[in-house]
Amino acid sequence: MSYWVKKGLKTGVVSTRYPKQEETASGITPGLPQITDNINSDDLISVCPTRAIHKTDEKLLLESSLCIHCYRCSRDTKEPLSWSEGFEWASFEKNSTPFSSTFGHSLHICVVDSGDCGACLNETKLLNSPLYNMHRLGFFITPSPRKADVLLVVGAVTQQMKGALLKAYEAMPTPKKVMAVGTCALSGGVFEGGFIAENGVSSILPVDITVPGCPPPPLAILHGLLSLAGRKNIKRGTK
Amino acid sequence: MKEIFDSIHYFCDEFSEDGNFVTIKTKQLKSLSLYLFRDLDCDLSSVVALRAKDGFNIKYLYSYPKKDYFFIVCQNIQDEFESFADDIPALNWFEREISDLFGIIPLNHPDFRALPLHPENYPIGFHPMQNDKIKDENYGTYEYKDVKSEGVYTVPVGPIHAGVIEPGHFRFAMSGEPILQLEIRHFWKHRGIEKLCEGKEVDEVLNISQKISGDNALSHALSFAMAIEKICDIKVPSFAQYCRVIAAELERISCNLSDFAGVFQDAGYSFGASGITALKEDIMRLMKLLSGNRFFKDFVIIGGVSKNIKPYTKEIIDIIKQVNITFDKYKKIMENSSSILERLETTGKIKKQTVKDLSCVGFTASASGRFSDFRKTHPYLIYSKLDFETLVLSDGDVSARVRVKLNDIKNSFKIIKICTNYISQVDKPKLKVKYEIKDGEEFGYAQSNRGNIVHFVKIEDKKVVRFKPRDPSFMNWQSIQFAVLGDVIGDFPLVNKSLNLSYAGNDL
Repeated sequence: MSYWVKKGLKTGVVSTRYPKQEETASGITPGLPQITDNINSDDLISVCPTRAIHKTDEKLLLESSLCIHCYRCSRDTKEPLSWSEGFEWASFEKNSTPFSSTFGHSLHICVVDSGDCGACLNETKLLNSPLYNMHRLGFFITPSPRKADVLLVVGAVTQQMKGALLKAYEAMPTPKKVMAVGTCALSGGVFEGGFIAENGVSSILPVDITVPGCPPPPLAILHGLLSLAGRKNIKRGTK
Repeated sequence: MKEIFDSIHYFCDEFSEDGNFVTIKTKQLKSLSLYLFRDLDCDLSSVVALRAKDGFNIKYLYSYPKKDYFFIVCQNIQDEFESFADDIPALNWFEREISDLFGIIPLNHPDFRALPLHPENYPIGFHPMQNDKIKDENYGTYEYKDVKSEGVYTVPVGPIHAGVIEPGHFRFAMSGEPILQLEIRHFWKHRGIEKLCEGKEVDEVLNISQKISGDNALSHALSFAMAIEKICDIKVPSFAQYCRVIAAELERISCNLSDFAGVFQDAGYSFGASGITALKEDIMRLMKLLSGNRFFKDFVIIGGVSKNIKPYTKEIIDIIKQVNITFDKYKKIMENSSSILERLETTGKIKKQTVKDLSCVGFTASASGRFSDFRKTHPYLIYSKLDFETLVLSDGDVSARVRVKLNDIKNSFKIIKICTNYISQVDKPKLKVKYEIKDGEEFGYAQSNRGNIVHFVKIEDKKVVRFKPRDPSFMNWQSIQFAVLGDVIGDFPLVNKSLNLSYAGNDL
């Protein structure tokens, strides 16, 4: 027992100071490619496996919700793209709002895995680890949807999980919000055309906030939760 | 081996040897299978069904643990085949899976219920791999094997669990405190990967194979890449081979640490759990530094590796050294704490016979007295040149499994040290070779932290026409039904965590 106390005092606080301070440690995020003007686009489009890099009106664009951070655009091309290190990727869907300030300080989250590969779930699990420690911000994982404010869905919804997911959503008390985490949950990802119910969670449940990434790093999920609680101002989606 | 080949000749009609793979065609299928499984003590590694010109072709892959040999037993069938699940229990799930996906019927199967395709969600006549129209559009129900008796009650759990866990359904039949029977029902996350990969480009399938089981992304990619490299005769440069081994061992450390933390957490020892998770995060940040991805996705590519890790040799050595020191401290705490050991010992026992019958792989088998590690028994990449001590224990309980895993982590530290020494001396690192896709079919295999991964790939016209991945969890899941018997329900999370089974890899 005394050893634990000693070890604890010696280690000190290892948690990130985010969101009060910027987190700058290396390796916390896979990052996103940066598209600048004057880039030869043709081989970039063909090298991207998920069509995240595409052309609209003769302009090269990046759809961040499709990016799986494979680095092919910075590796196999004539003009490699540079990468940014950010992680504040969450965005609200159209017409959805954060929780009102009456509820907005502490959130209880029910995590439902509806068919991910385990990577998104791994990153969500790390939110409870001392390095991210979401408890310090008042976020808790609940064992039952009946006590939850937020339904955090990872994975492209498979046919067989659709029923269970809908039941979990119905069991939640209002006001409730749905958060879709990861490329698969947003659009079906690489499983588009497989045995998934629809392409993404939004065709089954009213999604309020989306966090892209394959998988999104823990801080990106944390950023999504803070935004949902109205404690962080973010951009608005146009969908 | 000559004696063995001679006795196999006795059974077979056609016999061909290709490297360490021996392909056998026979009419005496049952006696040959039993000879391989019982007398030679082989493990069943995979069963692959293929559409042939006339009916179907089924390949049974047995791995021979004493020498580096694999036996492929083939049979051609029309629309039904004889089931051997009664004699070789490891075939049970394979045969049910084939029956669901292809619509071929295993005759005299002891437990003929739907497996990957739940009858509540898919019509009974729906067999995706058969390419036929749906014959029967009705939906069915799944009958559980509940225990009905006075004083016996059922505790159903899932598919959605409390906490951050993947979905799966468990039914405990309880009599007072002890568990009388556990029935598991999985495949809630069946994403149809086998069907999805039909007719795709090799690069696309490599991408999908990394999403079979997220935390084993690299091992799956490696296994798939090695199958393709065998088909196309690609010689991977030795620098790339060393890079692959470093990456594979880092992934193994990361998964084993997270597992170790989970056991601490479920044994009610959160001090240890937080400390170990912090170590895991250190390794993941190192992985991001080396490959750009926190899970080593897209590090292994066909013909080599995508990134040069030589510039980061110093970082690898520093971080591994640091993690090793802290890890030793926690290991010592665990070994000296009676409250944890008391919780781990004698909990979740799996007998050696169970492991043999189900052909369990990885640490589950090694902790129950049956050694299973492809790095030693079927060495690939450069593993035959590396020297490391593996551990076989006979207890079969949670404590034994934890000890095997701890030893595994120590091995990985050692292997990484040897490999970083090598790559730091290479002057002109060659990362990958150019290649051309050829037609053919091969098995590829790699050892992940959970056990061996076996992928079957068949290429026609430069497209993948059949991809059958087999995750280690598929072999190990059934053993949990035996591990929990007699324990209390409160021990279940601990037993589950100690087996560290992937739901996504099992469900595919």
